[in-house]
Amino acid sequence: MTLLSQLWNRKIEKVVWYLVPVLIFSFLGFLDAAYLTATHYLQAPVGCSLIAECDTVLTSAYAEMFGIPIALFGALYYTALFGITLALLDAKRLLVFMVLGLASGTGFLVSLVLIGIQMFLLEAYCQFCLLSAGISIAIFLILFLMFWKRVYSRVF
Amino acid sequence: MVKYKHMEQNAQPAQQDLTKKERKQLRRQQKEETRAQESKKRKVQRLGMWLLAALAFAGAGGGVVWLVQKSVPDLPVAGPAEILAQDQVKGSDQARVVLVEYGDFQCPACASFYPVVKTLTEEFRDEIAIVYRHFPLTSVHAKAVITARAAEAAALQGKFWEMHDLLFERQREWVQGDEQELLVQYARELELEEELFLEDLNSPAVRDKVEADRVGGLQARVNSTPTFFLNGERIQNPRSYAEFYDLIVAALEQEN
Repeated sequence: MTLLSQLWNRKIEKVVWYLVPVLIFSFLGFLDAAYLTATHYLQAPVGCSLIAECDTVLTSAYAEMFGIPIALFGALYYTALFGITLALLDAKRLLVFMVLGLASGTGFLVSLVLIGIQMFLLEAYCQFCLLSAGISIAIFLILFLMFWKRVYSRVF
Repeated sequence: MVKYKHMEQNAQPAQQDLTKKERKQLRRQQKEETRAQESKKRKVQRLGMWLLAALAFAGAGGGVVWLVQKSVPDLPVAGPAEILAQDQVKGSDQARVVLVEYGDFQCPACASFYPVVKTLTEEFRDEIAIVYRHFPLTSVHAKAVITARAAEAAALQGKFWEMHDLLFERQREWVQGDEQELLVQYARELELEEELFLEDLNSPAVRDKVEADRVGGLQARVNSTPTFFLNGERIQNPRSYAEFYDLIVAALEQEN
């Protein structure tokens, strides 16, 4: 408990310019994932105009986990990420930053796995999935930069 | 210091009567009030920020669902075991053995299966129903959708199978040539009403039919063409006419 309160009491400053892009990317990621979730449940055409193999990816066995489409997990992930980022902007606490970093790190790893599945197991790509993976990776890199510039040097 | 005191006395003459201690207290009180006001203002701002974010997500989510809903074809989607009113059927739609083909007019394998399936149709006539559904592989076949639509447009004038046959027979011609021009030529050859054909070719009804077929194929996990379903069960593409024939005979025997 004391560690948690210590982390809570540590404040981090000058992070708006890192967090606003994270908010924007999270929102875009949410739109992308919400679109794929909606097409999944409404059985609508996805519009695979750029890379037409996306049907192969989106109907593959890897598109679902426990009967829930990966896209829905994605939409929830981006919503959570947006919420945590907003909380960090609201109360600039080290603890909130660590939660955000943990969430984003998980998203980063999952994105790498999903890209790997498309590359090596399916040998087919879906632009909406790649876009989402790109967004997750970008968010992680922004947060890593922020950690380097604003957190590591000042707090530790 | 003196100047400050002077100004303060000017600004608030009532304070002249207060003792030094009382004045200090008053000032502290004022400071606390402005702080409380500021904190209240900040609270409202924060609440506004969270509300705005929640609204943005709800709005965006709702908007996305609405847009996707609008793009869903109006037609029902058929499973591989059933025949719907919109389907293109050869033979008897009352037959107990149903062969469903998911095909793409531009796919070479479909073209080589075409004479096989046609002979089967003639062989079994009213004993089986043969259903053709579109599964255009748009990534590799740029002309798959337009030709699927051409067949459906011909269907509206009662000549689906005639157009279907022509498209497979002359696959090489329209794949290499100008398909827009050639489709009109085929329509003329089949004595279709040309203007109506062209109108139907781009109509929402025809687009929806092709899309409904494709979605049905996706749901049935079709990923290559041609894919055949015999009484709802996916079969490995037979390597010869005889093999295909035997499969259908076996299915007929099972039903009888």
